Amino acid sequence: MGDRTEVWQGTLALMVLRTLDTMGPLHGYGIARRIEQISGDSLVVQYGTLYPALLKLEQEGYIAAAWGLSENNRKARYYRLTRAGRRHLQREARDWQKTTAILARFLPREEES
Amino acid sequence: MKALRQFFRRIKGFLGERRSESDLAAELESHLRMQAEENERRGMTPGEARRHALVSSGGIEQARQNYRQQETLPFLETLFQDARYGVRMLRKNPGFTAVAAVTLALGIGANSAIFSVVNGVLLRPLPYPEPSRLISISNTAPSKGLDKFGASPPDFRRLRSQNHTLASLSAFYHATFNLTGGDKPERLLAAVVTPEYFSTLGVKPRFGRAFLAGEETFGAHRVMVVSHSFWRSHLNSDPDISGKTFSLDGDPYLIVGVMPPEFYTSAFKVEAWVPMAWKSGDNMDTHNNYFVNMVGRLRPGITQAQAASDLNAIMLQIAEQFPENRDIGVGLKSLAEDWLGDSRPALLVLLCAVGLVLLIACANLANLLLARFSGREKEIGIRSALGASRGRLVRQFITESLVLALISGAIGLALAYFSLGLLPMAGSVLPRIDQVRVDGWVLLLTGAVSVVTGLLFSLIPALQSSRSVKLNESLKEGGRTGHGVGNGRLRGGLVISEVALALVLLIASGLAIRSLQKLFDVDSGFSRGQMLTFDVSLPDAYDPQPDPARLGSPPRVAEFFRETVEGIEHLPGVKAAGIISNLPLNGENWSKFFVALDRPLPSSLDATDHVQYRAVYGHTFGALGVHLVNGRFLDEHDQATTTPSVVINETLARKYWPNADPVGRLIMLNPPVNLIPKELIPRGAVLRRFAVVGVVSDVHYGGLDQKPEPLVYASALQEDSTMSPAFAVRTEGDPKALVGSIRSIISRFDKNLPMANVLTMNEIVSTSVAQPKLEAVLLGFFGGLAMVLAAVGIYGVISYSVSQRKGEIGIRMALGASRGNVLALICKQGLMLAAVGVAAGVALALAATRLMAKVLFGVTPTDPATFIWIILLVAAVTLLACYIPARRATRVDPIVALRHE
Repeated sequence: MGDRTEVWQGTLALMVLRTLDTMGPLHGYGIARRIEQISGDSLVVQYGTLYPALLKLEQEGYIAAAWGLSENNRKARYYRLTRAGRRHLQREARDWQKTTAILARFLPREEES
Repeated sequence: MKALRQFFRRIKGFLGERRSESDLAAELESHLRMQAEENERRGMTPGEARRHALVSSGGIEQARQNYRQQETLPFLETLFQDARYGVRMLRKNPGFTAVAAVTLALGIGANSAIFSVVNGVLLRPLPYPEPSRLISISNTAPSKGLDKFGASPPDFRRLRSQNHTLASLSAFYHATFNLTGGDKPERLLAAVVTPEYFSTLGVKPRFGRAFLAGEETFGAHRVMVVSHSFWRSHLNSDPDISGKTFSLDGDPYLIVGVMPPEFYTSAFKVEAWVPMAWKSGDNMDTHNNYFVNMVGRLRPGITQAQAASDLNAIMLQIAEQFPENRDIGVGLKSLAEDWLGDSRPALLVLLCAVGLVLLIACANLANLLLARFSGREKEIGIRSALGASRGRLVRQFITESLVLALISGAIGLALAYFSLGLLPMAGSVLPRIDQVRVDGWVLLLTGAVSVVTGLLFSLIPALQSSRSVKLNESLKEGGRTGHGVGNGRLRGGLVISEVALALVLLIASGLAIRSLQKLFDVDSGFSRGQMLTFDVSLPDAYDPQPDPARLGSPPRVAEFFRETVEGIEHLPGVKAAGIISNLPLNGENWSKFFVALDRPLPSSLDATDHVQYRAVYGHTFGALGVHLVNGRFLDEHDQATTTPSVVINETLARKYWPNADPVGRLIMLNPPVNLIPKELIPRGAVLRRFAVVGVVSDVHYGGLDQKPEPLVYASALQEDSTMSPAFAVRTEGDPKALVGSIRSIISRFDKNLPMANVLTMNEIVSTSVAQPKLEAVLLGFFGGLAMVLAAVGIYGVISYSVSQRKGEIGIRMALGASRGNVLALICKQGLMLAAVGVAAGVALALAATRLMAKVLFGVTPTDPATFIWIILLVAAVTLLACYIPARRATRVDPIVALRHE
């Protein structure tokens, strides 16, 4: 349980919530694929990190899960956003934007390689 | 909020409420399939697609582990893992476990037991609502050397009506009644109380009612409230008590209330309460009869000091009116403090003692663990090679030790529980001793003590051994387990502190034992063996017309004395029998004025001396075994009509006639007549002069640890008699064998008279020393325990070092050292440790035993003899503990030892 996972999980949670907000109920694979797509494939979401993160969000009451059928008629576990999850997403998104805006002022553009 | 919810979910997870393995596997599998299908769509073969999916998603096992970790609380999980491992390790080493658990259980058990007593006697609040507002009030007269005595009924009534600081004030005194109506007369211990007694304490009867204000009036007072146990034994637990009466001293008393079972007042077993009511002109209800105890409840917000100044202002007013009340004030004490009496220091000494025992046990365990952990270095090495951090290792050791400590705590608690069961054997040595039990507080303390001990004895060795791990060293095959110099020094330090603490405890117990010995050596002034004692309380009907002017016993009382003493003396096996107003060791509780007529007369009442007084009848001196120093005893020649005579004790003789023979001198037991206010002399009273006819040895009436006071014996027929005579019967055989025939003599005289407090003199003596005896026994036990633990500690360290120094010893022997040399070498090491420990212990003891000053008798806290004996004892035990491993060292075969190198 190093510190790195903690930070990563923090951002991953936000991405998961945002994905569920825009896409509606989705299974784990769908969430992973969607995040990878949006990031322009610069992120790899392994399920070793994804599923614990989903569990944590479930424990916190932000998402709920139920078994359903996928597009290909395959059994899959679907996650959906709860009301608490939506509120949390709005709050977190605001905070995140504020943080990145502040950080942007500290980091000059040339740093981008 | 969110964190809390998550925490509870995780606790649930920890407790087993998790997703099933197959459910999680199904989800992961469906993930994998979807990825594989997508890969196939991109043109991979099915096998390739699945392999690729597996690789890109990361290991399944890892995912599952991460998931599980998120699902529960890893901290708790590892804790339980460590605990389970600890239990396994303990089971694998039953020898170590047994020694460690027994050591610790003794230490913890001793603490739990003593704490139970301290808790029940000292800490638990009184069983009344708002107990902190309850105060005990008594008279004090420091200028007369009187610290604490009762109030007079009129003074009490004035304090009750005129104070502004008390919500309620009540008075009570204990009295015994002869209860009749059943098949056998019984002696009933009752409290005679003013009506507001129960409301002052704040307790209501369980059935019926408490007393009414009007029941203080004589004539309306024949009502009683009984205890729960009386209700069970005499009323068959019948809740309908209406109309039930019992006869007390021949008068019918109506039962109006039953107290709840949990109601108790002090160490006495009071069975009934009756209202305090005085007939008008009753001799007891006068201004200079100081005998009632007072208990009050402070008004809310009033301090004890405020109440004291309020009440003392009233006492001053009383003193202006009644000059004999001059210099008498009141002293206040919290009721709890009053109940406790002087047993606080004894309890605190014991509490310190068990604390020391526990510390020694901890040191011993730390030593054991040090040795054991250094034997486990290979395991530790493997663990850290596999990635365990130092913190993780320390945590594992501590968890293991805590498991041990908690097991020992449970055993200790059981030990405490059973040893408390033995308490009744010690008798009523402490107030509220029957309230001592293992309760929630004791459980809590035992738990806390176990955890703290576990941490204490494991922390040092755990840190030490996790630091000393050198990975490669310990993993190397055959690599000798390395022990730093620091390790040895640490063990030495532990042994030194063990010896020091044990020495302190042993000196404390030595002092207690010597003090008990001194107490036993006191010449009590009477001979203890083969004596039966009991007392009888004569009802008021034996003195139908009390006459303050009369001297000597009323006719019926005198008749009772004559018939019973004669009857008893005629029994076979009786050597002598007599009556005395109060038996030895029962308290110095009856004093009278004393004037020696051949010396200058006192000039005022205040200047008139007081001496102790005892009324006797029959062959009291012979029965008690008091020695005659000079003159003669009082006996059957001293009748109401013969010359008034007294016998004095040696202390009185020394005080008034240090260089002369007191026999034949004249004395008075009242002040010179010109000093007595006329109205206080009863009409028709004769103020007598008595001739001293004999001097007898000093008898300890107050207690073996108290100096006998000057005392005068007079015949009950010639001076103040007693309505509650005590009998002393000297017998040839077993004193208790005579109880039956004595009882029939008494009931032949009056079938309603019970015998009470039937005891042999030996029993009275042992009760009077029960508390110091218990203290000495317990301290001796704890001291012995400490010594054994310390000896085991020394033995352990020395034998460990012998096993370490085998090679060195081998070389020495090969170079020609004799067995004696080796023996001396090893013993020297142990004795050096012991010497440092003894020095530290003596310094500690000099400071610590001062706390014992209050519980010691005839021994100073720094008694040199005790110190020297104990130091010698410790030295001898240490030598023995070193000798055994040292002798083993001399058996070292140099060749084997050297080859081992």
